Amino acid sequence: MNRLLAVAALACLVVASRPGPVLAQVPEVDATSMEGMATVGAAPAVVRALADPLVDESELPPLGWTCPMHPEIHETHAGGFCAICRMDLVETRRAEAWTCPVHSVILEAEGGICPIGGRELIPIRLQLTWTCPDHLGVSSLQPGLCPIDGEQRLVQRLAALPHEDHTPKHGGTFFMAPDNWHHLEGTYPEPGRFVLHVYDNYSKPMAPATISGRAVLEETYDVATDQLLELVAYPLLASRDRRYLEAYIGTQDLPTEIAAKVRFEPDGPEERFDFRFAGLTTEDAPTLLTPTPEAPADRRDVPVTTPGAASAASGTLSLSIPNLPGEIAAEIAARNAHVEGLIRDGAFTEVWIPALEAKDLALALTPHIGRLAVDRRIQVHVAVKELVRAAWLLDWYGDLGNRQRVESAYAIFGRAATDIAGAYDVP
Amino acid sequence: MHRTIVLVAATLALVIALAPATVAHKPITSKYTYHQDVFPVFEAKCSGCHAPDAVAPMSLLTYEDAYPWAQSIKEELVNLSMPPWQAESGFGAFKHGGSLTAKELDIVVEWSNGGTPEGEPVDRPPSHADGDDDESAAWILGPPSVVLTMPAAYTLAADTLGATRYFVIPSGFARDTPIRAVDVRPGASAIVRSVIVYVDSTGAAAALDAEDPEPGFEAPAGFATEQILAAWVPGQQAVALDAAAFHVPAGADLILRIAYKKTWTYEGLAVEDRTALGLHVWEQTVPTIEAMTLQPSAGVVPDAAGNLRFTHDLTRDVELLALVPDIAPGALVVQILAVGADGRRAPIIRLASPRPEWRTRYWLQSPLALSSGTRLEVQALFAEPPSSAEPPVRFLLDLVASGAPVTEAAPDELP
Repeated sequence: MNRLLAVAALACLVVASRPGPVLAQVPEVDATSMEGMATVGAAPAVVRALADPLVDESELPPLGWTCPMHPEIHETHAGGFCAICRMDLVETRRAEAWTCPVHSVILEAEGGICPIGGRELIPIRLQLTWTCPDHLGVSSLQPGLCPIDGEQRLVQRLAALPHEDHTPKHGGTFFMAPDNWHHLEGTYPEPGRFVLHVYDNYSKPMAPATISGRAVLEETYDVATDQLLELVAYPLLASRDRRYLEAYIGTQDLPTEIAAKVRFEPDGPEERFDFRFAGLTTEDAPTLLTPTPEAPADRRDVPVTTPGAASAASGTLSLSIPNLPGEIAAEIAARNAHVEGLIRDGAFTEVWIPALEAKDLALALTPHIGRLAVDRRIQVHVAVKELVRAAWLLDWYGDLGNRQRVESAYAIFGRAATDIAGAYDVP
Repeated sequence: MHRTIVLVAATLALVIALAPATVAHKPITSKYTYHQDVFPVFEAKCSGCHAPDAVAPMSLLTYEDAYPWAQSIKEELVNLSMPPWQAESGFGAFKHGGSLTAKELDIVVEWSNGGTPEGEPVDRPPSHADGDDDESAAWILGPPSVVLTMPAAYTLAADTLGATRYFVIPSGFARDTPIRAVDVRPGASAIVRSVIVYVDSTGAAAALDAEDPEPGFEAPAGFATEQILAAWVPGQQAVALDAAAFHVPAGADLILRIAYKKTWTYEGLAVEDRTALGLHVWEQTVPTIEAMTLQPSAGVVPDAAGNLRFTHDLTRDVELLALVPDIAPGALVVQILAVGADGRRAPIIRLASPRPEWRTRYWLQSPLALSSGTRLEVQALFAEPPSSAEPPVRFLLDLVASGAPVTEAAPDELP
């Protein structure tokens, strides 16, 4: 079947919805007239329901109950309350489909390959509601006729449930897989035992049934093959209760570095996650960012320097920008040292903070660049953009926990920061 | 056929409009919104391709069209895959566009990464296209002196994803003609990735065309062409020369080298193209542009780390107007600096991750005077040393030399 038609047919059966009221009219679809509709027979109920808005409710995904504030909470029975915030649970109707980790415009009934970029599709959870085309305030958990005018068919809205946070659940280090779907948390709870918890996109623990991997402790670079050869590695095996993976790696001196090489599906790619443990992991330990001499533990909303200087904000960060370009360059150099230290210590998930701060500082240099001599002007101009780009790469790769990727981004970042420092004679 | 394309395009618009809203990986942390901050960047730097019915598979000009692609946008930008023809802004000055500035890059990536907030439509600055719906159908520089269209339409077959083909268009010029500007209008803008227009006064291309039963021909190995009259990629506008001309000899043919490529949205469809050129002819006598090749001497190749450096010393005074790079795959960065006899340095161009398939001409904002004795320093860095025997870096410099020959203004009787 033509791939394009398949995508089009499925996409025609859904209606977009943002958290805001983005709504499209459901097209009239003759299920017998389009080649792509052949897939509908295998489509989830979310798709079938829209083909016939007056479908019997038994055809729909079952009702469930969720927390208005924490959509990861999902219960199959009424009358409960949220385990996180204690709010009363509310009714919801959920379905699952498949989308591309990069091109969310793709929506398929079943797993497969993204027709755009060739990546493996990932499952996605959708929240279903129905609304009236002319009365968008109407929100129903089942299709039917508009309760206001009594004539128009309700149209379906789909909203993807939000991706969950990256908060460690067991006091360990939390990374996201490059497929943007799998997440894992490594812990070192007792001498000689490395534990790997795997979660889905919604922080739900995943049974390690199809997941395999190794805990690699020592490697060497082979020039002839341009490959890293494993010298010491231990299999990651399902725990006795099959809730996580673990490897017995023998007693190690601390800090210890462990590369988890994991395959989430038997025929999927092997992904690498670089963990570093300075001590044994404690389950109930609060998860804090690593403090360093250069910076407080959590720099969000913490002014950095120079009272009275201009302020800039970047996402959840805010920092003060010095007025003089030499001072800005010095601040960038300090962030560069901080980033370098975090990478050295394997604290990849914390790299984004000084990296994005350096990025904002570099952007603040732009108005000053014209005062430099030509050679230095060229050098800084190029370096600022490279630093901005590399900061976002560090933010991204830091989440993935792959040292090689992080270091490749830092090669750009560090070179740019050094060029800026050199242009302003910062030691 | 046309109806088929329209139908599919409409279907695709529907696909994107109806796609599910995937909430961003992180909650909304971006201080930039689509309407106020991101749209102006998309319009200025991306709309040449990412507009309805343009060569890219999706438009970025509405919020609903753009936000489902946020993760992809971020990855393309930070990996330097997009925009595809990146003359670093600030390192030399060019007539249009090129790369995003550092600030623009930051805006788009932060928005993509930070929850893709929409903002309020009222905050959107006026669009250049607002109230000018017919602009895309018009010639950018006004009515051309001559319009030359491919003699026959070429159909990219349903089972073909891409092709590069040459087409011959007789100029019909009865005498040598000075050209001020060449405006390229692709016939099927959804599949025309690049158009390079050469001049052929030998008849060689016409002979090859005659041998091929289909419209146009595939160039054999070693097929040589003369001066590049125009190098177009989507999003670029024609440039009208201020005081110089390209020279087209009497009776010459114009050769269009067209690179076609379908995006996944046109997979399985036959698409027909008949690209046209709008030639603007000088009505006064101006100096003629000549092309100078800047490439390493034989035997000068990238070292084991991928670094390549070479220089060229000018032996006469020239004005540099434009450059057409020809870079082997795998280049991370390529740049040219001019170093005057007095040691002064001037940036000319810096290309980050240049992509050979998007070869184009970079017009300097204003002509750059380079005196005799100026050294052009070329530096390149490749991820891996190129394997081809061809020079991995080559620039065609469009310049006007002091005392350059002139081409007399064309008479009224144009074809």
